[in-house]
Formats: sequence, structure tokens, C-alpha cells
Amino acid sequence: MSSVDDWQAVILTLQLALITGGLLLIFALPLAWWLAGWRSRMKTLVLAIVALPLVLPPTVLGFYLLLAFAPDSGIGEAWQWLTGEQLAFSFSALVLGSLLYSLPFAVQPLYTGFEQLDRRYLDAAATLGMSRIARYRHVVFPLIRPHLLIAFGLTVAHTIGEFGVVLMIGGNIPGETQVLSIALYDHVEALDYPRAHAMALALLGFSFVLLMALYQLSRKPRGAGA
Amino acid sequence: MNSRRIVCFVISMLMSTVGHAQTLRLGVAANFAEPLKEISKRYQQQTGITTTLTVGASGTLYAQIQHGAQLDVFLSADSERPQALVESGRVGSDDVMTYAIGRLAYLDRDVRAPGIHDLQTYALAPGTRLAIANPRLAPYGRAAKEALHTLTLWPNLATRLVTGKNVQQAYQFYATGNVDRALVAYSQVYHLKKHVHLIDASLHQPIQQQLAITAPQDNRAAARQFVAFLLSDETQQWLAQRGYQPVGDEYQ
Repeated sequence: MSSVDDWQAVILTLQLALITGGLLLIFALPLAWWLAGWRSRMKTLVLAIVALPLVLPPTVLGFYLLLAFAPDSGIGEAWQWLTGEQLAFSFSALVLGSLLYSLPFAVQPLYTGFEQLDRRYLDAAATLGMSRIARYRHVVFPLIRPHLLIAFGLTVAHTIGEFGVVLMIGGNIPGETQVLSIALYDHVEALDYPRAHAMALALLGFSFVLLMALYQLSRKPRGAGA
Repeated sequence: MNSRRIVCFVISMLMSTVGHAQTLRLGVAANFAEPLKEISKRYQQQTGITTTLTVGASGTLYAQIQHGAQLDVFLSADSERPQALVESGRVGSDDVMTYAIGRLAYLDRDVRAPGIHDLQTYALAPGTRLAIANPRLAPYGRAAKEALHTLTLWPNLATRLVTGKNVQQAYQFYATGNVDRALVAYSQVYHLKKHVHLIDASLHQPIQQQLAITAPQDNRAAARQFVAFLLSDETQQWLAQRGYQPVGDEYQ
């Protein structure tokens, strides 16, 4: 394994984390909004299902995904029919796996944000004649912004550190599925500790900066006051 | 660092006084865990000595031993990690020996009784990926790479590989239906009647699985006794029926 592969792994990890973070926001926003407004006994059921990926050990989750992605199983077969390519061992498989794996990290902060949102602001805005889209844009979005950033930050960080799921469904292909955590594990197992330390340090440093920036951004602006 | 060593030392002293009934602690690479469980059971029946098994990746076990893990025998999947323990001075060179020699097998889902020509045909035509163990980490992976080089198929297949972290994972990719062909350990698949081809051992370097006796002074005799049992003709013949080549064969 060359250091070109190391860089490729870094870039691949960033792609995976950003794509997963972005897609999850798209899915999680309406889901969390709907959940927060939903009054039903079934709600606890859905909340529990969303939290389930936290329970399974990642390698176990990855193993079941591997079974699900096989060409003779429903999902794998449908994918092959749609794209003409095999699902397991592809970058798309990693994205699908990461979406599931990080789902609770996106939904939870947004759900909390929507729960805490005082809906009277929305009613007031509606009474004042604000359109539906304008209400989302000028009332909901500014109030939910910190939660949005945290949801994004947590999913990105969680995906960067993802190991077990990728290990099971990735197949360790450089430039396709060999992400940073896998490359790091390879260095450790191969007793190449200097390279492992360098990668671990870079991983920690980068994630630290990213998380700090996001938490900084998610703070309420000074003087805005409630 | 020093205070940690002292704590480790105190704990190990306590352990050795409390649990003085003979127990051997074995650290074993995942690919040999199943046979070793069976061997340990037979050993206990014969001697009354019980064993506890820690199953892990060879590299992980190596790192744990280097940092004070109390294991009496370390059964690695390869020869590199035990040799690295010799180089670092953790064990003497006479504490390291080969306990099993692995054989490579080719699995082909499309052929009932595959031969090496099926691998060659597949390599030259487009098809699904081939699963092997990671050549950098796993001895069966390296042997697979060497065999593909010997057959001059490596250039065709290098970009069509999926690699498992170990040979178990390579087999898992096949067993779950995600690949149709794999190079795995013969000991994993010797019981299958179909779709298996035993790769000629001359196509790659011998897959030498080595152990290191890492026992502290008071447990060394017991550890050596267990290793002697493992290397005995009886145990080696039993291993031969489970897809390994007996140790000593290569000198004959």
C-alpha cells in the first residue's frame, strides 16, 4: 500500500462523509418535522426504529447489509437491475450503509429542535399573512439552524469514523471503498505504526477542527437574546 | 510507563497466586480458533489442564503481548508476528516454531469440480470479483497473490479483487453470495464436496503458521508441554484431516 492510497483514502472518506451528511439532512428534515408534529401512539414505535442502528454493533449491521446487498437478495438484485452493477463492494453501497448507520445522528437533533420550536410563532406569522414557504424560510429555518448544523456535523463526524460497516461491505478496494479508517486499521495490523500514527493524528486533527467550527457556527449570535 | 508496568506486575502476581490451578492462556488467530478449541478439549481430557482462548487478529494479539497482555502461547496466522517478537527481544528464537502449514483452496460457484483452468478461464473473461484475504495482512492473502503471480493471472485480476481483512472474511464474501469465486484456506472448505479445488502447494511459498511461547517463568513448563502436544504426530495427523499439511512434511 502506497501513500497515494493513503491520500485516496482521505479524499474518499471526505466524499463519503459529505454525501452522507447532505443526503441525510434531506431525508431527516421532513422525517423529524413530521415526527415532531405527529400525535399518535405509533410515534414511539417510529422513534425506536430510527434509533435501532445505534444498538447493533457496526460489524453486525454490516454483515446484515452484506446479506441484503448480495445479488440474489431483493435489494442487491433490484440495484443490479437498475444500474447494471453489483451493489456490494461499491461506493454506493458505502453511502447506503452510512445513511442507515448515521440516521439517528441526523434525526435526533432535528427532532429535538422541532419539538422545542414554539409553534405559536408560526401561527402568528400565518395570521400576518406570510406564505407557507416564507414561514419556513424566515421563521422555522433561523430557529432550527443550530440543530441543523449539529445534525450535519454529527453525521459527518460519525461517518468519518465509521469502520465496522465499511469493513463488512466494502471489500477494501483502493479508490472505491478503502476509506481512512480501513487504511488505518491495515497499517496497525501490518505493524506499520508510524503511518498509523500519522493517519490517526490527521484524522483527529481534522475532525476536531470540523467539529469546533460547527459548534461555533451553531451558537446563537451575540446580542440576539430571546 | 513504569507505574503501569508495576500495576501489571502486581495484578499478574495476584492472578498467579489466586488461580494456581493449571490454566493456560492461549491467544490465537481467528483462522486457527476452531481447530484449537478441539485440540484444547482433547488436551484437557488427557492432562486435566484447562485452557482459555483469546481469539483475535494476529496483529492485535501481537500489540497486546508487546504491551503486557498475559498470554502463555501466541498462535499467529503467520510467521512475521512471532518473528517480530523475537526481534524485539520479547521471546527467544527457540520459543518460536511452526505449528501448522496451511493450504490454499479455490472456490468456484459455477463449476461443480473446478480445476486451475477454471480460474484461468475466469481471469481472462469479464466476470464478478474474486475474493482473497488481504495480501498485506493475512498469510493466505499473500499466498493467493503469489499463486496468481505464478499463474501470471495477477495483471488480469489485480483490479477485480475484493480483499477481506482475513481469510474468514474472504470466505464470508463467497458464502453470502456477493462473489462467485474466492481463494481461501483449504481448512475452511475441506468438508465441502463440490466447488472446491485444492491449489497446488508449489504455486506459492508455504503458509507457515507459527507460534511463540510468551509465558511468564512459572508457566513456561506447562506452555511447552501444551506445544509438544500440538506438535505431536497424533495432533498433526488430526490436523492433516482438517485441511492442513502436517508440520515436518516439508523436510521429508
